[in-house]
Amino acid sequence: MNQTFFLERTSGLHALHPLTKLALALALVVTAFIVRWLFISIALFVLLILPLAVWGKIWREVLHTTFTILLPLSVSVALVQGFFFPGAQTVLWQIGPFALKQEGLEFAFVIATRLLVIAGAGLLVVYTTHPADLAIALVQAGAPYALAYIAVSAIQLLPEMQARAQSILNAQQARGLETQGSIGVRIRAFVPLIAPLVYGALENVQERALALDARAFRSSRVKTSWRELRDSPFQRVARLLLVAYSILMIVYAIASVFLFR
Amino acid sequence: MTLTERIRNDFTTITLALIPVAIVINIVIGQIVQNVLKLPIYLDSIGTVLVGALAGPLAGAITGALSNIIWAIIFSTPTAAPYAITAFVIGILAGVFAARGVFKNIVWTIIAGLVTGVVAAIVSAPITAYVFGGVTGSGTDLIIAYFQATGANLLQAATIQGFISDPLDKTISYLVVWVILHGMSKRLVGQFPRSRNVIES
Repeated sequence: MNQTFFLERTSGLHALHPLTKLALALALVVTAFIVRWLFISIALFVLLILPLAVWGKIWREVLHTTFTILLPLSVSVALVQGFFFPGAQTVLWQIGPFALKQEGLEFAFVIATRLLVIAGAGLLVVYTTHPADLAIALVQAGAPYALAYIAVSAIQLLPEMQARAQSILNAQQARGLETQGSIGVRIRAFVPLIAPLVYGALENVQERALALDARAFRSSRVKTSWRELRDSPFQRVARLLLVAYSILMIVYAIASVFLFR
Repeated sequence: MTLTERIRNDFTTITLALIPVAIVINIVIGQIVQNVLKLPIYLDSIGTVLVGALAGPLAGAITGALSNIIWAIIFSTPTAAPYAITAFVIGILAGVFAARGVFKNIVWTIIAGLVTGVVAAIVSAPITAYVFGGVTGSGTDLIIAYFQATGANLLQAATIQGFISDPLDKTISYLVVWVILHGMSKRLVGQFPRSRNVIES
């Protein structure tokens, strides 16, 4: 699997503060879940997410990725819920013992377009924000520094470990390990593939801990960062409004469940 | 010992070094099982359970939740992110069970894995039902269709579907962690804050 996160381009969306983009994604997802209108999600996607993706020069990737993720899910949810949605009444089409019903298809449409908003809003952040910038922004907003270290070093470590997994696979296959065929054969291949990987990785843990201690990672003094984030008063206000809006929407949704029954 | 003290004792430097490695173990083993061996299970929480055993419930929970979020970022699949909640709970459970000593005994390891799988299925069901409409785009969707056709509502159908896959998956994950823990040198195990979960002091 190839990594496709963060597309380094120059755009207004790339230049926004990571937290502004996160707040925007949150507001989009919250709206898609809470507003009770059949076409809310598709409207959000077409009227907000796509224009933002064009502004960020990432619309091609956003469209391509959302459709590859969502096409199988959408087909599946349309079939399963179109035919078997509990309590659906309005029959659109009868095929043998099965009936395609309108309520089920509407539910499937809501689910599929909502997933479109989740994927689209997430990709707006992921494609235009370097993971390290995201981590720094969260630390500056009060998240523990250790959390940022964990996230960023996991992202850096992954390609290294994938390469090691590939060479273990090659080495074991050269020794005659079968990784294809019946399920029994494939289950037997599991231990020879993962044991060297895991024990190698655990050796790596000790070295990393020594390196952290040698660099006084646990010191409580404030750490400076090589990367600098740009922010603006306008963005600060926008973030505040987006987060306040999201919280109000969630409070409204919870209240409407308990109060207006 | 208060809870904050307990947490501070769990988050030593070696724990901080272990968590990113465990996250990558989750992702890479998940990929090997899915793409190379094409087995019908996930096995993407081995690192989470391992951290729960060696460094306590909160460290395990963070490993689980971040694994899903990083998976979502790196492979541009934001739809993986909602299940971070399930992964968080798996980490907590692994830590709590390990503190009760389940990893010292293989029978208790299997029981703890089964229980974790049942809880994971219950936590995942509302996510599968209300975010994904019950489907994952794989063969298990037929199970949802079948149970809805026989009168279950969406949440019930999603729970049953989880009961079919999660307990087996988590039991195997716990067994793999049992093997890893007992294959580690005592010197290495001893460096982790919860080493007494594994070896007698």
